[in-house]
Amino acid sequence: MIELKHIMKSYKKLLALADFSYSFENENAYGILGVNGAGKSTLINCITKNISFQGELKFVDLSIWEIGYVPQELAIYPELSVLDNLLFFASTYKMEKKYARERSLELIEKVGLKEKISTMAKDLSGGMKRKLNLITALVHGPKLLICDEVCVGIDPISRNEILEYLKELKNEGLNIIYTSHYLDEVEFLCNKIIFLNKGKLILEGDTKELIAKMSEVTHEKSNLSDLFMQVLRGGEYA
Amino acid sequence: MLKKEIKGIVKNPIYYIVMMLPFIITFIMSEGTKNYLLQRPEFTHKLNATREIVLYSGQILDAKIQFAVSELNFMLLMASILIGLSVFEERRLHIWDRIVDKRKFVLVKFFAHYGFSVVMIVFNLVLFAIIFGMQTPLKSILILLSMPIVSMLFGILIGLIVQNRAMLSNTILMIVMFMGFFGGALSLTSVLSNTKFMNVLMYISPLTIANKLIYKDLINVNMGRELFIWIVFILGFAGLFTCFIERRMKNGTVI
Repeated sequence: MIELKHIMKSYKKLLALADFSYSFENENAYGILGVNGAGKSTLINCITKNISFQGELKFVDLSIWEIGYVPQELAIYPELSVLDNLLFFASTYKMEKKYARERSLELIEKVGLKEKISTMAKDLSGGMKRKLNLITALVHGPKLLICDEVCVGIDPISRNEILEYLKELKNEGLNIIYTSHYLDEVEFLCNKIIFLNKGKLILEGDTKELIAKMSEVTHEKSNLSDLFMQVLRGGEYA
Repeated sequence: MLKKEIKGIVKNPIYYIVMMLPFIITFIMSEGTKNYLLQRPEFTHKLNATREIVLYSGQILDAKIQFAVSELNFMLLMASILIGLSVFEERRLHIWDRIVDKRKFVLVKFFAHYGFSVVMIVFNLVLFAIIFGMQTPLKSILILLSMPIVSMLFGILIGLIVQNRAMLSNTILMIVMFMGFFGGALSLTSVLSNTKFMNVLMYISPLTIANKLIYKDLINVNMGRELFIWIVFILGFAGLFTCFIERRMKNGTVI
């Protein structure tokens, strides 16, 4: 689906991505993990072509138009209504007006914003804004959804609703690349994980397998959080 | 996209204020000139005309007309702040990061704001015609229409470069005020051009050439070599800014 070869990106003297190579395959949900400054957002910005970089980025059976991107920040127009926000983003994808409207209404209903359809985005609650932020990336029916910390700063109920919806989309065949500092979210949603540290890929693999191996090494039941800490410490398993 | 952009302009009161500013400033500046001349009867005597007139390159020009032209051009240049802010806001809201066809997005902004500039030109020329009795020939209108091409591209470029809103307004204001001063929007061009030093320095500002061309057209004098200089200036800067904008879009504008 996406092939990255020898990707290098630096900001002045800071090396954000150092010779990063990886292939994102179809029908998977990838969790990208790492501490602040590990290079997660830079990697996403490279994939979405929002920044220039050295190296090769190749889309296989996919075009940039088939990617939905949910940035960490609320990338919506506060002065536009819920529906108008969706229609605007649909227009950037050259969607037919009638279909764009139908699709927007369908998504609004799906995430429970039907009653707020004419409400301005600035008047929505934090959780609702996050939901709107998410569905604006889905309006054009992407093949790949890239989510950069979509559940930051919201209540547990909204967070759970968003995660359940993403899981549902994943089960329907949507490919997902997901970054978060909440490891339980990644464990719940992603079947593959990638660990980044100082711009380098330090560990990747199947989520369940990596956790199982970790449990074997430590002789106790482990979770993604234990694995993450072990990897960061550069311990025996890493 | 265009619909949203036009809605944004129509709903924003700042655009209406900017649109009316050329007429308001022209009125204030020309009245100020009138008072200045009234206090110095020797000047008006030398000019051998009514108290409202000033000299420009040896030709007689009404102060109102001089300021009408220079303030309109000045405000057309100042309108780069509006498009710059518009671009910057999209970046600040991270909507820019979600746009796949960024070139189209920028083009839509350019045309929407260029449309605003055209409305501003028409609005002010109508007011100038009704209140000052100023008739604008076609060539002058074309010069006025060419000004926003450069100012809009300049605004987009600054909007893509800066890291915060204050930096954007200050950068554009500083440059445009400087241009306005040398272009005769803030003082009488005849006063400025009286010294040899200032006579050369005035040409730092594109407003000087644009204004001079329109003045010549208004008093039926051939535009001459300056028209060619103006066309080269417009094409040169439009090309240069477009290259910088392309480069900036390619290299990334993530805040």
